[in-house]
Amino acid sequence: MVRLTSFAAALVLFAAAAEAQITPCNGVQDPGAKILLDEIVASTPGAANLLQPLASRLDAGLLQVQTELGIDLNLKVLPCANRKPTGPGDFTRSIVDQLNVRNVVMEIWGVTTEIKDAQGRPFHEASVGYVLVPVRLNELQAQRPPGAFVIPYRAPASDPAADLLRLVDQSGRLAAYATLAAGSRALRAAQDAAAGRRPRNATEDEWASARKRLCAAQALFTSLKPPAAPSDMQLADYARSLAAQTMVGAKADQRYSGSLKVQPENLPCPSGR
Amino acid sequence: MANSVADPPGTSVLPSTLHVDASVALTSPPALAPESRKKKHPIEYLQALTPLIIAAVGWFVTDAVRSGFERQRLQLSNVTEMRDLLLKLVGPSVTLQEAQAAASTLSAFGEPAVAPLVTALGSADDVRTPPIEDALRAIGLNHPQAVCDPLVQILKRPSGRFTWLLHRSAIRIVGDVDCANARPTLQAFKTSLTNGTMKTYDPASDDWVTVPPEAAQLLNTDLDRALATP
Repeated sequence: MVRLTSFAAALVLFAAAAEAQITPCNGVQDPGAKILLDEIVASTPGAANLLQPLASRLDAGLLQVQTELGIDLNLKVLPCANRKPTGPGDFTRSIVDQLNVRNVVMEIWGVTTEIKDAQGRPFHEASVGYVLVPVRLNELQAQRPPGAFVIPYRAPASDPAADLLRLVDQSGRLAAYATLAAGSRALRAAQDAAAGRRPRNATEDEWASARKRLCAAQALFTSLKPPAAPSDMQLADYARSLAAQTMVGAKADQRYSGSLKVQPENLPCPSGR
Repeated sequence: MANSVADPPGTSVLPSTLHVDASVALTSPPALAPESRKKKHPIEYLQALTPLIIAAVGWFVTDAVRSGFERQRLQLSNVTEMRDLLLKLVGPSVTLQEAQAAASTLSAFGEPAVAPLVTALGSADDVRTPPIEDALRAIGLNHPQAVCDPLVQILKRPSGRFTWLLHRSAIRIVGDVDCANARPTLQAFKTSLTNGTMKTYDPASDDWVTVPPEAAQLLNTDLDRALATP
């Protein structure tokens, strides 16, 4: 019975994925950093209508995390109806490059179906995909770490809106991913400014800002509830190594005179949130 | 000859063999004196050539008119056939695969497709930009001047209503296609970007704003690549 149920769920997920496609998203050209929230393909009727409320709730959740961490990611969640990527393979170099130039730091998509277990209790069988745009760009150049991946999800069904929120947020993973993506982007900006490839931001300490975000991302990954996905372990290591790179970069930047200049090069991130 | 002619009555009998000695002189008529020749009037020559001239002019005019009609009919046909593809390409629900197919088919029209593709590129997003760039690159390989002229013109006019994203695409295509005489324009663009004097069109405010630092960096990267091409 369990096998039959799993097979049926797999069939539904496959059928949903087969008609999936990347389509344009209104608002992607708008200025400012953003997270694209694609349509969550669901067998539940009316799930598509929950996209806008879901985006608002994710916005609120991210704002809360930023307040707790004392960082300003300045991100907004943009709902993209009818946009349904098939998987990480859709995010080729040219597509990720186009997302990057439009200030998209992350994209989320998902496929979910509500099925019943052997006892007849409803639960969700889902796959949620994440693309961390700056990390994916790095992955396409250096083959590490994964910048686009899918996390399977299985949980009892209750209120559809709350279920979708839990599905996308994945116990706080969303905040960790968003912070890492924003930190990775900030580090690249600081490195480019130091190398003279772009103008320096006079109003912000770019090295310190990048480090703060990357250390926050590392802390968020550490505080994730088990079981950790394999990609999470790699991303936590990646956040740590990038945070270390900010120290090295700041010390080597001859025109930089900010707070990191006087810190030891091997200074670890502060532990805990 | 014997018995071949009836013998007239009362004549003596002729010998059975008759020999006739004769000679034939072939002479040409006496040459006319030059002054005696009748000189033809040029009008006569013209009259003789008139049918040929009428035929040639008729052929030329008919061919030119027919060619003109055919060119117009071809343009109209191109527009009609490209219309559906363009509608698909710029439509709100186009998928990545459909955009690739439409742009690729449009590129098969060659030069007539350049103008609508460049126009579509002006408002293209993350899904449409790569296929349109590919299509223009494909046309540019066979007709470089048709692609280079409008794109270089766009790069020459930063004060036009062109976003930095369109400038970036133009730089990338001009760098990929062998655009003759594009180097001074690219150099001038780079200088203006480095000086910080470059402004870009912002559709949201309908105004020209300083190029954001991250955009300047991306433009610089593509400019360096385009200028590195020998």
